[in-house]
Amino acid sequence: MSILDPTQMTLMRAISGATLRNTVLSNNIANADTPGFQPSDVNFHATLADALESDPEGMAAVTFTPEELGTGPLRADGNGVDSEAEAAKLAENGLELNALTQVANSRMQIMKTAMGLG
Amino acid sequence: MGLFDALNISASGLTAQRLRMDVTSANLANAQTTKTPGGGAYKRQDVVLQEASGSDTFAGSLAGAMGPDGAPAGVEVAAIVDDTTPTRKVYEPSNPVADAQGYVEMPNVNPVSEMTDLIDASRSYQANVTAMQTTKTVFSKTIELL
Repeated sequence: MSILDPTQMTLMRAISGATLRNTVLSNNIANADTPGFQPSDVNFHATLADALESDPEGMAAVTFTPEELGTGPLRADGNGVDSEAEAAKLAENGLELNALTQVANSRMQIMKTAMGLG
Repeated sequence: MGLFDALNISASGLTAQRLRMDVTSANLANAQTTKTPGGGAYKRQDVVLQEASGSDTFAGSLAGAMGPDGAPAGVEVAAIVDDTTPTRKVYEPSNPVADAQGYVEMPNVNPVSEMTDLIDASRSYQANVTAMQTTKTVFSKTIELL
């Protein structure tokens, strides 16, 4: 049992997943004019849910991989990026990341208080 | 996979879109240019973008060697190519660059489509700026964890 309980560990992995998702969504927006480019996304919720179900103590080892959405080409040049959808996902992911960091921060403060550092 | 990857990716988008705006502006500025150093009228230019592999930087190579497949690395300019659409001929015998029949070769630039290209590039630029701002806000929150 590490000093961080599984909930805190899960929060940390979720922050890591949301950060990777932020990178991948930014990449989609940067490539909105690249011929033949297909957008990707990171389904870190599903990865975390699977890990929580199978091995809650092994949360620290969970990794995330971006996957192509497979929407197919939306334009004549083969590009599959829907800029509005990507911008909406990026905003949503940003809010989620904010929420996650706030919860993680509050739990950290509680832990510090318990250790007599607060 | 570093903390600032997302910012660098958005920055690569800004660079690419800025170059598109530069090239489109050059096309607009040369919409009436009949004389070029290479001879003939100005040929419209187009920017070809491609997904960056990231293998040209140390961090990119390291991530590529460690991870299963390369991490996203943004966008880069593959080439600036000449548009091969035929040029227009205008009958203007008084023009010094007119040929023996009195025709002047005009550039294959359509100012209306250049303007739409310019707006398209500027909107894409704004999308990248917004993505950058989101990333910046979120990361400053993450740093508060420390």
